[in-house]
Amino acid sequence: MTTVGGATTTLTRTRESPRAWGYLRSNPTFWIGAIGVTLIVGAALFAPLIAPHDPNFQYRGEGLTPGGDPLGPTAKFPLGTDKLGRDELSRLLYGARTSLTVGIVANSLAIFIGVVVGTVAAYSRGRRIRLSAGGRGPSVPIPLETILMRTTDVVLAFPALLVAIALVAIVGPSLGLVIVVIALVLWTATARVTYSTSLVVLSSDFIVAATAIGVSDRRMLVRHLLPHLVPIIIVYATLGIAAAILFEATLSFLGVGVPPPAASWGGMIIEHVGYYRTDPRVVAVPGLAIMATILAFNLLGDALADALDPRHWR
Amino acid sequence: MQSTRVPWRTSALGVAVILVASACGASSSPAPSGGASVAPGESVPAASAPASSEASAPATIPQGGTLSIGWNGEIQWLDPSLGYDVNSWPAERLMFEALLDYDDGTRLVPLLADGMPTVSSDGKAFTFKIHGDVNFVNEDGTVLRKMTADDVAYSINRVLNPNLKPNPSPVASGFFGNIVGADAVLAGTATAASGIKVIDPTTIEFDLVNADATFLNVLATPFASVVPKELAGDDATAFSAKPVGTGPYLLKSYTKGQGAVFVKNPAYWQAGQPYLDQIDYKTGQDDNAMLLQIEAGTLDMMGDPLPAAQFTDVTTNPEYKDQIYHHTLVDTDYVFMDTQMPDNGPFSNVKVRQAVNYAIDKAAILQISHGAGVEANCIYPPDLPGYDAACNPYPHDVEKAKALMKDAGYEAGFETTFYTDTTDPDPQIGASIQQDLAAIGIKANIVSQEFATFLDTIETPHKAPIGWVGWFQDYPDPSDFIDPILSCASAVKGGANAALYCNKAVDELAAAAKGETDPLKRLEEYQTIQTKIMADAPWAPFRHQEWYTMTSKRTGGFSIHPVWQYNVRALYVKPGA
Amino acid sequence: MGTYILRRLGWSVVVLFAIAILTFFVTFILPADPARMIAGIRATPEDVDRIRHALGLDQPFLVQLGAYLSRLVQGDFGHSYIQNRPVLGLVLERFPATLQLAVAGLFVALAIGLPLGVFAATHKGKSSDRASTVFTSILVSAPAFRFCPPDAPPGATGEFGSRESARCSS
Repeated sequence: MTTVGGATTTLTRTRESPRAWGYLRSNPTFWIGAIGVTLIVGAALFAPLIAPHDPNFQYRGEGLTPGGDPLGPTAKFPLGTDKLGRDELSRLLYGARTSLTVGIVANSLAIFIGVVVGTVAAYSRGRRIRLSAGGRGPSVPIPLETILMRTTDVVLAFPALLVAIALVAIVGPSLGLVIVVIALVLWTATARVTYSTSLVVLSSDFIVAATAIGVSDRRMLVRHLLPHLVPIIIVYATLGIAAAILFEATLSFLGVGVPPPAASWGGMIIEHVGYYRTDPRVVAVPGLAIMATILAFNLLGDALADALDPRHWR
Repeated sequence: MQSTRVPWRTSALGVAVILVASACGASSSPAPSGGASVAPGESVPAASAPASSEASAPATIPQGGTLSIGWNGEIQWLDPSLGYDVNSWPAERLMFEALLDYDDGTRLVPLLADGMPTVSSDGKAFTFKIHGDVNFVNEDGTVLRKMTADDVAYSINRVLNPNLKPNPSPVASGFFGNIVGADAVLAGTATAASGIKVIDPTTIEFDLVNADATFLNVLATPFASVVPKELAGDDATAFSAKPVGTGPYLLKSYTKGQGAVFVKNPAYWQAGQPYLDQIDYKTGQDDNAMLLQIEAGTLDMMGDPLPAAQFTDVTTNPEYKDQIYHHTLVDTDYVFMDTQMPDNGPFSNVKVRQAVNYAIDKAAILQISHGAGVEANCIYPPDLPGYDAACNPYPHDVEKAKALMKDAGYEAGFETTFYTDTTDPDPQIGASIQQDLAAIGIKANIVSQEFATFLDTIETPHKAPIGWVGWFQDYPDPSDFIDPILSCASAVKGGANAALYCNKAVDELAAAAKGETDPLKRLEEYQTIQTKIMADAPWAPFRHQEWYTMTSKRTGGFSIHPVWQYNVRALYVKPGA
Repeated sequence: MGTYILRRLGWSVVVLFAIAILTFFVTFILPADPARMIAGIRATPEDVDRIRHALGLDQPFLVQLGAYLSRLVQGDFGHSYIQNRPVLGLVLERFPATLQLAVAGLFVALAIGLPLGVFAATHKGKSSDRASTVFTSILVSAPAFRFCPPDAPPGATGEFGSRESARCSS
């Protein structure tokens, strides 16, 4: 831990963590969020045990009205059926798996890429990065910051759906592909915000001081810069889960999402979107599930961001 | 042609499907009589009374009034040499006419031709007399001049023109390649086909390379519409903007993205027609919005079927009973299987294919389609000449299917990939079939692709081992369901034969039947072909779709036509509306 | 300041070019065949080939890319076959509505979000801070297409991505 002029700049486990925990413990939003997330993750994990039916089995005669429309809630189908006669509750539980997997994994990947790009780009400003052949010969200055940020611009402006359709057409649809595509779309937001925040942090006094005493690049990034990004990373992580789940729904609509008949909340909404007038239940149920999940993650993330903000713990 | 449910060409994205069966309005169901065949050496008398029942039209059809019709898509072309989709054809038929037309069913009747043609005894030469009093009418309602046989010749040669801008006609060789001298025009070495002969201003003769009775059906398509030779030119985009034809309506205005207005042609060559003063086309409309407008009476017709989610509500509502129309389309939806699957894959074994036929629960598919359709047991749909209601070689029987799988050596089952497209509700039908296949041990992973990609997949040999697709007629003749999709010639890259079915014996029968001049014998031959193909089971047909739509109370003369779908020429406003 | 703007403008031209080339490439490798889509599902392979040749779609990638870019810089954005009119017209038609929505959205976001954020920050730790957090969280969590007016005709939303995102489709 480095102390310059009394300003403590890093988090160490020995001192700050109990304080963060104390802060969290008394924060109701933390508890609401944590319980919500636990319930949802639990539902996803234990879906095979809790679900009353096979989520993909189409109950033809008994699962549809005589006119061929989805059935309302009955004893056998607690939340009714969808338009192929499949049990809505079971699909909801299994859908939690798909949506959560996509939301968490794709998002984590996006955050990781975004943070790396943003911090490296900010850190490279004004610093000359040179490539040379083993230290001998002329070295080539690389405008790393420009390259990284302009690439971010290109990716940001690029029509993601086009790439998704092309990739699926070539490689074939799968959960992995969906995760990769969503990550490729979401990282730019994090990159930009990380970049601008990093620029601010890097102009602070303690960074100047640390440079003066010769802190290495790696240590600078990880121990001095990163902790200040934690609150904003957490906020974007939780927002990203929402974006990821919703984007997955769009991909499902175009047939480039998780391959059918696998259940996913977004797919369930899109498949039944025409029923909003005649049978809103089939759209409302997965929609509320998405809402609840996003809300829980947001509340949890908010509380965490607050607790972990280094500026509290001077 | 290939279609998931929409006739002619489907737009790549976002065309909703779902048809439902319900209360009946006017539905035409003519007896399956051959409309295409002509006995050699004699001219066929014009078809007498239409072979269909229709809601009775009032004794005198009221003249005047305006009707509006809404569409999802845009009118792509008002140039008959290029238009090939659901929105363009009805619009073209308002403004242009061809030598022949259909009655209320599938029987050919003369239109611009004065009587049916005289056919030579070898079936290769067709001589038409044409009406001498047909006017070409300008956009402002003034008469340009009378139509002559030169214009008819010019129009057909124009479709063959390889230099047509922006692109050549999609049916140049497909429909008109059989005319003597057409290949020279297509190659660019001639500007007119030698087989199109103008005998005098009201007589024209067509000479074919091979005898083909379906040539008459071709001459009834909008592609064979007659255009004025000095105005049409090589630029289809320009002509589409300022079309001039012989039809009952004129184009008053056409705003891309909004729609078009067609007004009555005051100099139309047939007295008493058209009945309406004006027809409004509103394009780019949403299905649910159109339905609401029709219910409210602010829109008269919709060019697209009833949206699925509203289906049950609308069709069971007694207030709309007389406004709902439905009719089984001349379409077959089927599961195709790669009969030439490499490495002796499972689907190259006829027993496996027959097992799939037995395994499919067609009633379940109809249920998720809200009952809009009839079960398909063989290749030809009802309304198609040659349809055989008794043809049903594989009634649903899961035990038989399992026994066949065991026979073929696949008692343990196998895994495969099932292809479908993404247009709603096609993936759901794929899911239903997937469950049926699982019941007999076939684990099918569904891949649903956006329609353009899906087409490319099924037109590339061996890319899709199994999948489902629909085929809709271009004209009501059984050859339309054999040659393009079940012949050796079509089992190539870019061909529509997704099952890669190639049986030389069947090919020979099909070639003979195509040129057969005795109409009854011809139909028998096509039925034999159907039986033979079904025995080979390259397909598992499961449904003929039914089209459901709704009109406003004041729409008269509406019916769902087996060829034209909406016969826009017969519309009028109901009295008292 | 002036040089900064110029530099950024210069880079944006490069970015636009990169996007144009990448988009063209992705569309090129898509397995869909534009000649087949124009000709229709029913046309014979011979007719499809003829159309493909007439439109120059059978030429090598670089030739097509060159033609595309040279027309692009002249303002010719190509022709839509589905809508049968120039693409530039389609894009410009939807631009005002998209601009309106974007600006209005930004304005609403600032008008509500900015004061709310400042309020929450200055009243940190109090119940009003909690309340505003929960309130914003709930709004963020609601999927956009839940609140979409289903009966709005498609032309009204006019967004570029309205078809693709299908958020308001029904």
